[in-house]
Amino acid sequence: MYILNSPKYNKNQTIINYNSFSNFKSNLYTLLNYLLNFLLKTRLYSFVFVFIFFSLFSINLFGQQFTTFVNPNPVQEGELFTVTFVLRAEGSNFNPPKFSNFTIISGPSTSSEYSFVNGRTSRQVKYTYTLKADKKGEYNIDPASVKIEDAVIKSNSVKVSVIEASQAVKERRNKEDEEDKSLADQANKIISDNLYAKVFVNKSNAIVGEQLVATYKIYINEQLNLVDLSMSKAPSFIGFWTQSFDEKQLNYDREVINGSAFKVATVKKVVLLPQKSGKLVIDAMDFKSVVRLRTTGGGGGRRNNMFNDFFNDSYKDFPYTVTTQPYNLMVKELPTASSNFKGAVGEFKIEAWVDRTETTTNDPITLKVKISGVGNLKLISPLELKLPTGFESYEPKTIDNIDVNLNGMSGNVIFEYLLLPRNQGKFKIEPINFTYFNNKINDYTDLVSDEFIINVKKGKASDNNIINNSTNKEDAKYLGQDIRFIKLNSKLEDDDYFIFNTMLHYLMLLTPALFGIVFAYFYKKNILISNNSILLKNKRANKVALHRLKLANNYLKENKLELFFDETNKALWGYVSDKLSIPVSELNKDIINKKLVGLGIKDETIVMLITTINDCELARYSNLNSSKNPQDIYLFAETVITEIEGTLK
Amino acid sequence: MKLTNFNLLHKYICLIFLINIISINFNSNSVFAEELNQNTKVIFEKGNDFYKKQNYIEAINNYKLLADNGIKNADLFFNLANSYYKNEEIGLSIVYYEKALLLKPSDEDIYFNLQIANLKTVDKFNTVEDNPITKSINSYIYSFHSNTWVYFSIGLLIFTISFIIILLLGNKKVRSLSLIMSIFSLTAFVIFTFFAYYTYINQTSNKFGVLVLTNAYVKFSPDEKSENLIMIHEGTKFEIIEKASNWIKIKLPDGNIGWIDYDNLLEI
Repeated sequence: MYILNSPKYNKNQTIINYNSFSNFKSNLYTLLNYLLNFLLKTRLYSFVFVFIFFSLFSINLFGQQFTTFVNPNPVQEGELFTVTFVLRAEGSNFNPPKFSNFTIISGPSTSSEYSFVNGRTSRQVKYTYTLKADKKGEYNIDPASVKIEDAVIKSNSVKVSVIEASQAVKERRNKEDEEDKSLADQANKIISDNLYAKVFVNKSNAIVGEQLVATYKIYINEQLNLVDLSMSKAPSFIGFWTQSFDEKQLNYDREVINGSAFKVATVKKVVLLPQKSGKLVIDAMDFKSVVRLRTTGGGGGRRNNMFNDFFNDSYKDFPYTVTTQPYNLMVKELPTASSNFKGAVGEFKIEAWVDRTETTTNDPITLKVKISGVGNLKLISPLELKLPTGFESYEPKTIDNIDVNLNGMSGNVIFEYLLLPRNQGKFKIEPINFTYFNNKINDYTDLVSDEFIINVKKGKASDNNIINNSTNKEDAKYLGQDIRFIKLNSKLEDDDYFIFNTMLHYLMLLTPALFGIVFAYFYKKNILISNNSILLKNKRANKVALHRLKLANNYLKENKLELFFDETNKALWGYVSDKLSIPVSELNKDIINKKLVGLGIKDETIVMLITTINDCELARYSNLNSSKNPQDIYLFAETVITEIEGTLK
Repeated sequence: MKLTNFNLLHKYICLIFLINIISINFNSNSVFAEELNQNTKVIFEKGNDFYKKQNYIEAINNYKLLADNGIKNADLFFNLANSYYKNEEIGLSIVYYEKALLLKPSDEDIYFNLQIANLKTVDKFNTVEDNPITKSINSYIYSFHSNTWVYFSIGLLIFTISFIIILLLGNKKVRSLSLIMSIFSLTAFVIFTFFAYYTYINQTSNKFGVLVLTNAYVKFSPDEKSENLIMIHEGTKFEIIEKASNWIKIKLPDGNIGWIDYDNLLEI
């Protein structure tokens, strides 16, 4: 664009692109080009050669490695100037100062060159900034620093004085501004007719919950040279539930508007559901665009120089913001509704079913309610169930099968309720009411589902399929139960009474024990007493018998035979009775025989005893003189007693 | 023989007389208690009325008045616990259910409501499982009041002595059977007395506490700055091991041991 050695001179050149500074390539040649151009433009070109010369040899002249140059200095307010840091060494980590009082227009642009001085080759690096002097005054350009072989070298600081702009500069600048402005105005006027965006809403009036579609379209004249187009601000929809459909790729249609051909593309489509009544704004959408327009010379003679007025025509890129108009939408309130209305607007059908009507206790059944149709399906909250007592329900599961397209939302929502019967019996699940606002007839419609009769049979206790994770099986039987009622009748006795370790406790322990001890004592004593009398008799039996026999012997001597036999008989009977502890009245010879055998008495002795008793009795009662000598009987009796006594000892 | 019979008869009379004395003592005790409760009965009924009207706060006030005045009655504690439960104070309700259950371990209503209240607690500890046999034996023993075990043991003592008497008086056939029976019932007597002791200790020593605040930290040591072991929530029951000034050493159901501020809990 900038050709220095242009031979042509055109004083009609008016448009200068300052922004093209940024497109500079970092090489010396372009830098010099630019500098020269700049100097020429600002009529300071007489300095340029001095500057070039100066900058090329300044390092050697001053013998410094890192130097700051400012050009021009002083500078006029509002004008541009350059700051150059020249490094005459191999360095790294260039660290520029903050140009706090100036606006950086461009930079740093770096260039390096080799110079030959006194046969030595040295490298020279330049860091150049283009700054704008914003305000009048004296300012310091702080030193820049660079690292050379581990040492940080600083350049010198330079004082820049910004002086008031000269009248000529001011005039020129005003003129420039005016020109730019008029040019931009012209451009905007041209562009606005040929590049615009519109929002279309399919309804101008809506009811809360009613579905709307907003469409954003962009219109571009085919003739327009559109360099760039991008969305800068997405619309926000306050007060709406939205579902947007962004076009991934713009598909342009051709449309003829007012005789010119336009490219038309849909940028965005949004399904909107107003959530509240009143004036709602469908927000504007902004696009950033750059349009390239051809500009032609307009008569400004000031910039007539041999470099710029090369072309008759030139092109300029104009930034332009395309925006839609915000769309005001009046949203009407719904007429007052019944309590069943939960905000559903559209046209719906209801359907409900259970997976089975026969179940057992604690075996859950599934109730599904399906609402299908067109409308704000996504906003329908789960319907309330009127459950009979003994049924528990959990949070319903919502299954969406909704197709949101530009015609609105359609499809169905299924609410899945898990019902847990706790009690046995027949239960009726009341029909489910669903009220929605029908926007076609502008009124509410009530829908009622079927009712269900559930037959709950008694299930096994272990059939607890629904057990909370946090509770164990033992706890599950208490789930969903209320606590038992308070005790109404209470004697309010002191329950904090413990018998253990009290006197009463010991008394209660002692009583039966004492009873046992006392019983045992008396029992033992009784046995002793009865045992003693028998023993005594037994012990005395021998004595008594011998005493009687002695008496009998006396009778024998006095020849009183009858008394003798009587006494002997008594002595024997008495002896046996005492020995066997059997009363005489209960004795007979058989018992004697048996008992004595049991006591281990010899048979001979027993026979002798029996015979002696027999002889005595025979002699006594028959009054016959027995063959036996009474003396012998006496001896026999004595022998028998001694014999038995001896055996039993 | 006649002498022996007389002695036995005499002994029986003595026993009956003794039992009479005991029962008279007993009756006089309860008569006294009833007199004491005449005033409290009105407050109790008032509490019941408030509960029926679902005014649980007033019900609590009435029951609490009795409980604070030293009336230790399972029914009172049960009603108080119910009121706390209905008033959503689960920690306090558990405290009083546990207290009531200690006084009346065999009451099914108390046990039932305690289980329901426990469902509402946040903390579900993995309890350190005892041997299932000892656990079931323990729960069986604890399901009877200490006094019940005392009565059982006394009954068995009477059995033992009766069998010994039969052993002494009876003939050979009855003797061997009664010997076995007496040994058996004597053993049972010893065991039941031990159970009575066991439950007595359990029922009378405050071994457990319940957290009544919404939540609290269990610390590693009895110091406010100490590290937190775990956070426990309202209604958690734990064993009290040791008390040190304002801090209590506790054992959580999962076996963890830590310290907790005394103000956070109520002892059962």
